[in-house]
Amino acid sequence: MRSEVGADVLNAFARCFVHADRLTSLISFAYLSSQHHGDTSRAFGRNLQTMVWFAVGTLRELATAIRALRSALAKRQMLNPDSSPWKALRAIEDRWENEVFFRDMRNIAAFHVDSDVVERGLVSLEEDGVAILSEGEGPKQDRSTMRLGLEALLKGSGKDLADFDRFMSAVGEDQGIAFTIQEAFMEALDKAGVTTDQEQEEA
Amino acid sequence: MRVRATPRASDDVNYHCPLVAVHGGIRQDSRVFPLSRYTTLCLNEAKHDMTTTEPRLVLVEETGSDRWRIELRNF
Repeated sequence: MRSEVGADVLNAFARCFVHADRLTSLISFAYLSSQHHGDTSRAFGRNLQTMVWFAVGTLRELATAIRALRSALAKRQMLNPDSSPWKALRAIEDRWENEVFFRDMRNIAAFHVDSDVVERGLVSLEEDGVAILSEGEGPKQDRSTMRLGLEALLKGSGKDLADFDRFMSAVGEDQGIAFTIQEAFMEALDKAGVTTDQEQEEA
Repeated sequence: MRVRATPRASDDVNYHCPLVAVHGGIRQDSRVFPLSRYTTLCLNEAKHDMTTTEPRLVLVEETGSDRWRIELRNF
């Protein structure tokens, strides 16, 4: 398989698979959390925020892997840039690799949690006079959130609600990319002349 | 209620929230205490103080539900 498809191509696909699985897991965690805690609970709100920002970090890494994959396929003349999966993958690559707005958001809030951003948010909250330190339901940690931190981080980002709407909408759409990566993989196998078959196995 | 400075990682993720332990302490006291006290998380020492304009934590509980929030006032 590696020689037919190309070691570099298979390597790049494998990297994409890792990120695609992580994104699928995050969706799965979000679903389970919503089932367990309820959509309007503080716990689900906290979990969703965590998962969204982890997804953003993963999407950025996925974009890098897609670029490597595109390059490997192009070198072997196996890339069809006009195919449906590659149009979608190219859009993700462009968004998370090249668009300043998306890169900014990722850098601000996904993993860094930089002190200058948080400081701007805290100053803004100070001007409001009242801030929520923590909130929850009942006495368990799992059903509470230290809201002050995220609120300061988001306020300090300098982005407004319209920015967040645009951002979250793109994240929601891009998170389901695993299916498209599988389509691109099947397309590559086809180009390489690798046949696909089906077998039944006893359980 | 005993107050701990850090969450206790117990058998599952449902360990008790120290802040809720804190607001348990607030409930036993005045519901309002100076922010400077918070740093010690030692609510047994919190004193009744409703007049100050200095920063303070206020527990707000929703009636009819178990929802609560802790506000930082004069932040």
